[in-house]
Amino acid sequence: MIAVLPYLAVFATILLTALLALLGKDVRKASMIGILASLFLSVFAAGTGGRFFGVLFISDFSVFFNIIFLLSAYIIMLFSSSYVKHPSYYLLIALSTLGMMLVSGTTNLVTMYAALEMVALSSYALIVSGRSPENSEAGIKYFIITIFASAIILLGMAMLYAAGGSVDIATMSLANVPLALFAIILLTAGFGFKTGAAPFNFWVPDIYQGAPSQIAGLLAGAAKKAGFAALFLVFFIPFLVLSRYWILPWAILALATMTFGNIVALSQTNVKRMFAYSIIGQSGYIMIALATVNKFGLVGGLFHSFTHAFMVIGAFFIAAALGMKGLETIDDYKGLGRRSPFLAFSLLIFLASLAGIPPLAGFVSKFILFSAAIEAGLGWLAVAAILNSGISVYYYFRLVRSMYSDDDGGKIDMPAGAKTAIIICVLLLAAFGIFPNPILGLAESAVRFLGFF
Amino acid sequence: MILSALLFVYVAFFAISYFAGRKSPEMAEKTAIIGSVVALLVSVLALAQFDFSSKSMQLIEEKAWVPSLGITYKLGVDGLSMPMVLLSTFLTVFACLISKKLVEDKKNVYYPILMLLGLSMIGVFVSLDFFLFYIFWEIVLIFMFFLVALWGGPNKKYASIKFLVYTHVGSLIMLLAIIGLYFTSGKHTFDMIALSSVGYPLGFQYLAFLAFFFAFIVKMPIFPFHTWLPDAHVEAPTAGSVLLAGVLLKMGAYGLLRVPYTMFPEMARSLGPYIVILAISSAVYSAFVAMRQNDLKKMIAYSSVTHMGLVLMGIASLNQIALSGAIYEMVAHGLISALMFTLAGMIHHSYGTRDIDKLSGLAIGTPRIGWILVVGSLAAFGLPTFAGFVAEFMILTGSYLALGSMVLPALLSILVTAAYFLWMMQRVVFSESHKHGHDIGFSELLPIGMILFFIVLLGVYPPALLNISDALSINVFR
Repeated sequence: MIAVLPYLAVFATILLTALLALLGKDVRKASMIGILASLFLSVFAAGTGGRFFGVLFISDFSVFFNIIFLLSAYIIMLFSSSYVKHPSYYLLIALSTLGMMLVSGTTNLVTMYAALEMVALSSYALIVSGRSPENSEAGIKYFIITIFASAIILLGMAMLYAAGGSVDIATMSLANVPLALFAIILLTAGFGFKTGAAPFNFWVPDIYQGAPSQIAGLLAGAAKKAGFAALFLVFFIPFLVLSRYWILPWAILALATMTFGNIVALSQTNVKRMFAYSIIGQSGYIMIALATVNKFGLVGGLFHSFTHAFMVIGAFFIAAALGMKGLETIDDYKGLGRRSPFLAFSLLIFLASLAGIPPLAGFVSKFILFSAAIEAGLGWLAVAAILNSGISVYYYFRLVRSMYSDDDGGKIDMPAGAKTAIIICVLLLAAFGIFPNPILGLAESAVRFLGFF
Repeated sequence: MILSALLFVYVAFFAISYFAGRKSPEMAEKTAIIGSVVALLVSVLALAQFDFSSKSMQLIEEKAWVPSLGITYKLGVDGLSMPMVLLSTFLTVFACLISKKLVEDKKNVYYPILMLLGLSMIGVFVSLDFFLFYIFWEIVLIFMFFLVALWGGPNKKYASIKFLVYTHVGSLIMLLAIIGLYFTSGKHTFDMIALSSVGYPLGFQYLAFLAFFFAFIVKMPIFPFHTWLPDAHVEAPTAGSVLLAGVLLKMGAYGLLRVPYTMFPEMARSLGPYIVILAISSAVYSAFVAMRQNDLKKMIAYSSVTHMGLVLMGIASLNQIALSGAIYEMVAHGLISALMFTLAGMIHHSYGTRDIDKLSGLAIGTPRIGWILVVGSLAAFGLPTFAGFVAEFMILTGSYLALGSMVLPALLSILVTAAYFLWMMQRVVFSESHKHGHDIGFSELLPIGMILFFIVLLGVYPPALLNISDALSINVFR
């Protein structure tokens, strides 16, 4: 019973926010408190689980991802509270969060699909919420691509249902292998769109660049992880028996994704776009989990989902703050060290964590993923991953170098809410880089749910 | 506890220096100097607890950290790392002291970074868990990157990133080897001591040895992977060069001894002669390149490559005398190159140039700098009564005993080194004076005096170092 409380809390938050909006009151505090309450309930509910309402199957896997989603939602709301007042914005974030939580909390294909749609729908509106032409363009692109992806996913799920004889992936048994293989292909493509796998990721940079930066953070940090959650559930539960068919293709996808992302990022001068390509590269690392199918791989994939969310959200926050002052390219960031030591240092932490520099959390997750690749005998993938990591150091530190070079500009101040949000991200990355045990423990029990150990 | 205390001193004084720096930059400078001296005292305290007759790791501290991955917080020292720790703490004090006159800009950030660099250097030498070792190894790169990128010379943008990416890629290859060790050993731990006692299959030894070897010779550096060094050194601020040449290069040699030469003895034996040839080639090549240099700092940078080539020769010969000589050279070169880079920095500060063809008559213009440059150059090419001679003598003797006359070409590198240093002295110090610069004062003479003391001490009384380094836990004659 406790396990379902976080979901009820978010639902209550949505209702409360809507009510307050109708009454014309300020929704920001209420929505943040609601999300925070749900977060605490999620942590509290770790270890419990069970089936609810016929469609939910909550486990430590759900708890792990829910913590990512709720924490992301909270800090994005906290950051936005300094800039955005419109109630529908907060309502939409809460709605998308509920959608994401439902994705990780179910093994029912229909529920999963509906939840993914819920996330997508809220995201369209959030992308265009800034009301600028770039926002609208990004919104339309996102709309078209996700409709296409959703259609493919739906078709794949239908085939999976036909092959497995049940809508619930935990109870199906794959009798018809050719049909299941076809389902694998379709779902790989569909989820590939959602998670930004090559060659399905061409929409990603345009959308992240055009969307309001903190929403890009929501998309890359949270929504993408929802896609990964669905991917892990579908591939590691019903499709596990067929793993010999899809391990190598996913290894190649992982390789293609990380290489594409990192190499194209090298030539970017627009900071948001550079982040977008680097995010594609980072998704490639998470896909190592699917290429290796061992404990390290899964734990690493989950851990990296966690750390990546906050590195990316934090980085996009800073891009948002600076974008509002018209600073968009690497050269624009010159002298940030003097203009705002706080922003420069925070961005340094995010970039270093993305590059995999110890003792930050990004290093720990990469370490586990590389270990997974080596344990699985995929030495070539490990070598490719570290070469990509080396390449990424170049473009991340190119930005660091620009930040700390000399320039005279005015001081840049940050409002308190936005500052706190950034500080939370920095602290998370530092704390879990030095003491990764809590997250590791939770990731390990999440993996146990998927049937390993 | 003492090793953790040492690490803690640097962390604490980083915080103190940073917050003091918000009051005034001079406070940051003062607190950093105090912090580095405290750290030096703690390291001497550790020396007092050191058992000179032991042949295993000492002063060990161990605490579980991430048990599910087999990672522990484990520290310890032996005859190899203890001299490195002392060298490190001493040179950190030295670097802080010489920065007083040479660094004016952004002091409130500079001194905290020096503290962090001090922390990371010690961390590399005392870590006994691979994960911990890797963390310190990487953050050394980051802090040195910042020193070069923020306080460096005209080409600092290029040099800093080249240094970072080049050495980082080497580190990543080492990371793969570390992970490989974890799985192949079957022990599921990252504890260096535990992993050293496993016999590894030859195929894996080959790959792992080469991976570690690559990472460490990039750091030392050895031809042909030395190309990051001239740029990094020339562009680094003086204290950065001091620590880079004095300590960071030694980390490569340290790593080489601690990891591949301990864990893969069969590979060390079979590849030994080839590595010696590589070492000699690097030493001779860099000596000739140094001769061609007009920038004093670049000349000294290439001489560092030569000396590290001799260190590699000492290591790869698999002879006890040569190995002791290699460790001796690590300390000797650390001190001597620190002195030389400081002089280069002071010359630049006084005269506005480091070009040998533009400098002249230092004996008259700035006699203190001039004469100390003479003494430093004599030490740099291994004149007896200075530490470098003892080291080179031991390396050459030991490697000749082990490998015979094939090591004699190494003498050529020493000869050429002597030649270009003498030539440089003739042009720079003993020529007709055209310029006048302001000479150095007491505040710089103090650290230089300290360093000269140790360079001479180790030149006339080798047991001072050998007593420590003989407590080596590495036995390459398995």
